Amino acid sequence: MQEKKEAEIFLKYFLGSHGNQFVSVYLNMANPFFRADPVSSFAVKYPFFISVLDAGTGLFRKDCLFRKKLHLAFAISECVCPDREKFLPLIKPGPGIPGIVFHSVLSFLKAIPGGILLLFL
Amino acid sequence: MIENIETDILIVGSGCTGVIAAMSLAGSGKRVMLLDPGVGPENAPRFPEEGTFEKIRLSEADQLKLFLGNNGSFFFQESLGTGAQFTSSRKFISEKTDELIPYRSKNFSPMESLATGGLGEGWGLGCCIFSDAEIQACGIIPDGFKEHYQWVADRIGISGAKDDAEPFTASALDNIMPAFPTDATNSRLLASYNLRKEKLNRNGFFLGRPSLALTTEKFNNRGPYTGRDLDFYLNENQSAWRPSVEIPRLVSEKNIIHKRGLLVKYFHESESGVEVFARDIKNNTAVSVSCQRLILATGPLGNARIVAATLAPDKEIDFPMLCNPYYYLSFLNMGRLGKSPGEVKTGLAQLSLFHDQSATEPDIAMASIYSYNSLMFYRVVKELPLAMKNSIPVLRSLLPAMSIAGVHLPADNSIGGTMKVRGSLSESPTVEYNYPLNSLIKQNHLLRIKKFRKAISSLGVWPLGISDPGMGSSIHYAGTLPMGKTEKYLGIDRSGKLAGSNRVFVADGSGFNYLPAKGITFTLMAWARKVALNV
Repeated sequence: MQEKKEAEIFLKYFLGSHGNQFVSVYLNMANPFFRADPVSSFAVKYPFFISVLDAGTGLFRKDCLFRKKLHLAFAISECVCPDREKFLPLIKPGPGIPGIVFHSVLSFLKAIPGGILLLFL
Repeated sequence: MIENIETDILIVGSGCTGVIAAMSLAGSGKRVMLLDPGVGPENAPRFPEEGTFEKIRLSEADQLKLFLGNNGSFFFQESLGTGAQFTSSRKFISEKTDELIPYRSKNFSPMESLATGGLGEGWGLGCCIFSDAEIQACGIIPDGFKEHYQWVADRIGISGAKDDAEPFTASALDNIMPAFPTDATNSRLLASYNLRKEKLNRNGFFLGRPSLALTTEKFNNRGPYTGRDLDFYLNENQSAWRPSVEIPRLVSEKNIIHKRGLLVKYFHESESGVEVFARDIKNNTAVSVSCQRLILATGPLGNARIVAATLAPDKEIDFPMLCNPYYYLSFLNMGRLGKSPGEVKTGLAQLSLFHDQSATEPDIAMASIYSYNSLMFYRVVKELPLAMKNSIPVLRSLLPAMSIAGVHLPADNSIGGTMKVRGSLSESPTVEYNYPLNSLIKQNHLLRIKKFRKAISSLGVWPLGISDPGMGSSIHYAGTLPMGKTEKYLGIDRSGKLAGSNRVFVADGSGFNYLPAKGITFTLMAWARKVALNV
């Protein structure tokens, strides 16, 4: 049950409501490899915090299981998302230096509460 | 009940060296058999015959199967650290190795293959020529060796350029096709090098186009490379030379027998011939092959397993082992940030940077420079210190501006890498690798890597980082059966013959006493040709 909720929440984070149809794909792929972990359990209970946990683990806990699960959801999203051109620089060139700075700063700002949360998980 | 097969010459291993040995023996009037465990790409996802990477990404319905493999199995395999070139389509190359040739190690992760074509199916296609000093350090007599390079080049088809890298690459040979153009990011690097090359050359650095086993013009039955940016997924027009390109031709036109599905365990040599004992990997039955001459071409690690089980079953043998240290450097070309990657896109090496720090010693190091093409974002997103969701626009800007240098360093016996094998006639051998790098050696490696970083940075790009994928990741191994002027137990002589044997030859890098940093595959193929002529 927990795994299914994780799949729903992680896929929804990247794909919105479109993610629901790929829950079984995630579960098939993740089944032999993943187990429960406190960060994922927290994210399932409080999905509002998934974004700050994503940023926090990116900066402070790159190898944690939560990030590995999120990475799988990312890989699935890259394959199935309706607007695939956002992963293709030739079709849709990136935003340039201002865009890189904006998204990096945004991520670092989110990593601050994320990092604090991780201290308790 | 043992099935028995007979042939005149048996070649064990159908990778680049095994196939070149077979090509050399075709037409000799002898019955030649090429034998391998036969794992194949039958279950690999099939890519469309038309369209570029972008077009396929936009239009194909089943992207999950294409890029993550059946049931997504590939996602987890690659997470374990295999190279970028091993994609869902190439997963078969390392399939079944965990099960059939297991090993233990705390500090070494080798990659082996049980596939038809072996590791050659994922080869980066780089063709380098070793200097006489390097050839000699390997243990080979340099006189006449260049003829073998040319023989191989004439058959596999090589493209390259006459530039500063020429002395190190196969571009110095005859009949070389023009190189495929570089993309916008690497063209800037090359232009920048041409402006600053005097200083770089003084410091021993030489940059140029790599020579690749890639046809850029029509060549025999193969077509030219078109640059659809699908290099890691399919081999369009068979423009990349791989064993799988050659084997069907050997079978249909040269009467070579290709026997798949057998994993060789050991052999027994007598006055009348050699009997090779193998196991059918599908139904686990025993098979024996009788031959007059045996050529081992399973790679240095595979050969050590076979030789251990043959010469000293149930005893432990320490084989020496060489492996090139390997590091990645990444760079950002600020002028290309946020720009479109441009129409020329290729996942193959676009530039080669050689560092010849002492013109008299065979200690050249080499970097192959790539762009991040035909690969998905998910493969790099986990490396960024950012939220994955925020990484998407960042990567879209960064990747077209990024160059990645894979740096190989030379390896000799000073490190003391070993492969401990307890061979067995009935069971799988137990294998333990040990490749200890003390802090001084590691420090020396990093010093050299930093020289590369400084040299590439001087071309107007920003260094991003150095990453160490660990020992074994170079996939270049050698030296388990060292070559000597005289016969030495557990070694080979300069004709490739196994010590103590009259009928068994070794056609791969098992005998090399030194592992230059330049891509080794082309030299291994030239060596396989030389050995085949001695058989």
